[in-house]
Amino acid sequence: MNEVAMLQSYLTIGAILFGLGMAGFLVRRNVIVMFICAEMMLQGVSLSLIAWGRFHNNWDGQMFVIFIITVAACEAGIALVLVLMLAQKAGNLDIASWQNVREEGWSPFIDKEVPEELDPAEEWPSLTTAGVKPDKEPSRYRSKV
Amino acid sequence: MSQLSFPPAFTSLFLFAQQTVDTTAEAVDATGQSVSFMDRIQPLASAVNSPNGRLLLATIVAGFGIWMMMPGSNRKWPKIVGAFLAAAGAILMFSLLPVLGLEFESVMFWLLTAITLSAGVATITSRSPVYCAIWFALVLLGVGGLFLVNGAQFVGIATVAVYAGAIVVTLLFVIMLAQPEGHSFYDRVSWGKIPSLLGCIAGVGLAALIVGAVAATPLAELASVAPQNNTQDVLVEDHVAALGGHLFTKHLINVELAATLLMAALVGAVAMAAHGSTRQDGLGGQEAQVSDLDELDAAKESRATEVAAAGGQS
Repeated sequence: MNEVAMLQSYLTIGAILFGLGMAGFLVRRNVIVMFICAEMMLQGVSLSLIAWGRFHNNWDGQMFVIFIITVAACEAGIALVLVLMLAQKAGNLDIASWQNVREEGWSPFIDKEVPEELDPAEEWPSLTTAGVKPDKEPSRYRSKV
Repeated sequence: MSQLSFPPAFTSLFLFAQQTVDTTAEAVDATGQSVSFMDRIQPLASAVNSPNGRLLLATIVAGFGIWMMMPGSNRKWPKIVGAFLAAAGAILMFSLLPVLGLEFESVMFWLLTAITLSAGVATITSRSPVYCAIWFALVLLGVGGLFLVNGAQFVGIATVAVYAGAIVVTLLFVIMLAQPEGHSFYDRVSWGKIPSLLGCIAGVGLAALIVGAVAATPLAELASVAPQNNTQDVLVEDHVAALGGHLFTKHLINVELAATLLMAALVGAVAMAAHGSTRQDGLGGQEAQVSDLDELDAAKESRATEVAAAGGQS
């Protein structure tokens, strides 16, 4: 296969993944989805680095990607703890809950319309009750940890 | 890499947009009200023929398509229309590049590309964050496969193991802890229709700019100026041995730094989690401790009086 064509195709996929991640980061409002989009941008960069390393016959592209994976693991740990803290304090995962840290002088963002829930709440199958009825006071058996 | 010509691609893109707008205006002016259909699509046809016009068209088409698939932006058209538009934009972008041959490697490549990009679009347009995470796992599997096709075996496996195996699972745990009720209103809306459309077009436009720069750069010349004394070979038979040798000789300090970073991140994450959970119930931390100590003192006192009373009885 033509090496140059290969490099160009890989760079294109990397660019598109990066752009998709950026679009998602700008448009979505769920903190976790924004985090996923940031990770997708990292994947696009990794693809480009691997392609350049193959093109130049150099190991350093793969070295970069190994360190990207390491840093992404650290980032995931810290970011998810932060997301949990934010969710506990605000009660939801909406990034607009934190708009009081915005630039001074900007008017707050208020939703003009919220589309209704289209999907009905899913009903999961449940087992028929059988056997002995459990104790009314389940806290006795629950772990205290 | 320094030879990638970003500013020329950027300016020529805008010059072309201006040109297209001008020709359209002239066509309307010349014939008055009745402009035939062919005249109308003439600028479009010339746009598709020139690379920059194709990129601009791809940006608009794919950005609009992705915006149509975003939750809350549109309810008139089904999502599949947006998917078709996004696919058309991707095809327009790839049409600038030289065609790969129909060997086994390139068939695998196109298959993995289709999986990765469609899963990427699904990741950012799914309404439920759980579906987002699962589509992202598919993106990671596709990217891992692309690494394998490109001869980076260790990195491909590490991506699948670390990302799809650990990070996505952790994400699902966090979703379970933070949003147990499932769908919520902020997954159905965005920052209004126009800002979200602009966001989609900005993202796709960035990709289009990079693609244009890549397609316009004579990379074959880059290959000829590669350093001649390069003794490395990334396609060597024993891949992992060579990779490990390179990692632990040339990049040993970086490995140590990465280890330190991992340790610091671990400690930081634990510290943040512990601190956040003590502060969670208002300013309770200190007071709770004090009241605990008071209770402890009271218990000790009552225990002492009990013991004293027992001693007095015997």
